[in-house]
Amino acid sequence: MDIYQEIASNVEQGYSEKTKKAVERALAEGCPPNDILHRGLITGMNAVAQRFKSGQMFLPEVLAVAGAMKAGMTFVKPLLAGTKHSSFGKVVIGTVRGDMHDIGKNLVAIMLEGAGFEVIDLGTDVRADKFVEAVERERPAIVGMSALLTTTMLHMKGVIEALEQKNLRGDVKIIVGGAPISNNFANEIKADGYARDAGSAADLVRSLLNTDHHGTPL
Amino acid sequence: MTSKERMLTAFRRKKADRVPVCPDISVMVPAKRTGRPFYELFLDGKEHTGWTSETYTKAYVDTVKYFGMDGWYVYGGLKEIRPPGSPEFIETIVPVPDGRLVKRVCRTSAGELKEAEMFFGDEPSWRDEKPIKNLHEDFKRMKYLLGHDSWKWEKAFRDKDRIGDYGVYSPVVAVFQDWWFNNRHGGFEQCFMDFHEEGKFMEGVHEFWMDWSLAYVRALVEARPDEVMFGGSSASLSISSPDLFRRFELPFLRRASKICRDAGVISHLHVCGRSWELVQIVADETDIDVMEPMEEPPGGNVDIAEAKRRVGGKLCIKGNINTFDFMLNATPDQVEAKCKKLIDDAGSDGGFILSTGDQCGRDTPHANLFKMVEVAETYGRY
Repeated sequence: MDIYQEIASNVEQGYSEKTKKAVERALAEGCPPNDILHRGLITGMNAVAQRFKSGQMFLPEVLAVAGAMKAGMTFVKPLLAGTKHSSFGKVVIGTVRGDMHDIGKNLVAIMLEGAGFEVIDLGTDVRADKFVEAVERERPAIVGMSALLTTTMLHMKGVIEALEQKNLRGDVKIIVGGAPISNNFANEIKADGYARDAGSAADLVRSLLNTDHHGTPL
Repeated sequence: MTSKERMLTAFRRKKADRVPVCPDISVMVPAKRTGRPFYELFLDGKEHTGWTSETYTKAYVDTVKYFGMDGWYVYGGLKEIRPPGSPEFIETIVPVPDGRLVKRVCRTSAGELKEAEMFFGDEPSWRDEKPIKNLHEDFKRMKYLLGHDSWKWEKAFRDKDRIGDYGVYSPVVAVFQDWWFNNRHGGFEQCFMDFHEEGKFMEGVHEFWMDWSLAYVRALVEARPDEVMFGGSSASLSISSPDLFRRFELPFLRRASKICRDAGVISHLHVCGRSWELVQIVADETDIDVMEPMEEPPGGNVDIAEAKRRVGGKLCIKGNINTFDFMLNATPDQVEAKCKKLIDDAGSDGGFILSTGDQCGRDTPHANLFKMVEVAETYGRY
């Protein structure tokens, strides 16, 4: 097993300390940070995303994996800052107004970060003007909205309209998700995509940005 | 048969006069029917033992009567008898633009615990702040709040007559992950981090909780409810894992369901969302009598016909129509077809309660709920 496989395997098993040590060793041996990120950390996280999507893994295990990924990233991130490898793209994410539920949204954030995207998490109960402000400030490629309630999902449309009014709609792709959301609903409110679970969210973002698992344009 | 008799017969996996019908309308539908803001219903200022409020429980029973369904009253419990001067939460209700914010403070000899709960106008409440923030320090305070041992409760339920023959009276005991999630600040992520990184400490927390919960289960069965329900939403595999279920829930469920079985009281486990992987464990390794809501996809992953084949000889099954899409958007004709199929799949020989896969949303068309009742009364007749 080479060092990249070792890192990937440690991430996959949620071993934070072992991941950290393997990344440190890889850097000491002169491995390029970008290879450590792609061939090690992201490869491990992608395997987890697939297993989660197919129901072979559960949320607590994914959270342990995310911890291992973060532990590895603490060394790699500063070395990639400002390079073209620092992120595959920026995603602004939040649960819409009136809705305090955050599990699904947090899980999507974990999966996206694990897949190499930079995530700006606006939290829960996020009003349309806060989404607009975040788009103006962060200039993301993607805006992700979550809702668990049939009453609050209707606010997603308000966010899209607010972005249209500010002429920002064309700058971003909008994705939606949450228990009561469907593909039909996403089409109705003119979102660009719908993901039924967190594992699919990373695939959806990649497909909307037309990149592969390593952020390379297709 | 009365609704109570019908539900109890199904719980015992026998045929009643017809398939009982009990869609889960635990909060949203009755609250909306009143036309009053949710916070007004839940913060009525009257004493009530159990969660929700006296005003809300009356709204629930009214709604059961309105639809003609078989009731499932999960709002009661026993009042705890505490030594004089025991610490307790003192609450202040603050009007805010979206509803009412309830701030609670408990002063113990080990320090203060604080929590805050937001009550909205058109949806259930949400706890913004939970008492256990610093794990070790606040849990010490929590033990002062709950008492260290010698717990006592009143001998009788104060509200059992409220549902009467319109359904079953079913006090709820939260399973460990539900209890921890309700008390631990920081959401599920924090709870899972506790289990992962503070394993030894959490074993101690679990042991304390189990002593307290089993004492409560013993008190409940002595007061003779129609059944005891173990509330396990947070043990759902949509959130948690089979490993955590085995580690934290199974030891409790084994002992609690045996206490019920030995006392001749029915026990009932609620696990919404994804639960298929738990169904066989519950049937094989506990004395639980009823499991629900066996939620179908996309919210859950249970095939009710397969569940009936595998565990129908051990568990009464209640379920399992999707609420957040089907019950909201289907036509009454589609509801009729779905209910008939469920009765064919799981109800032909008793031990089945026609229900939903979790709580119906507030905007569920009444016609769909009436249709469920109609199908049970006609097609579901034994």
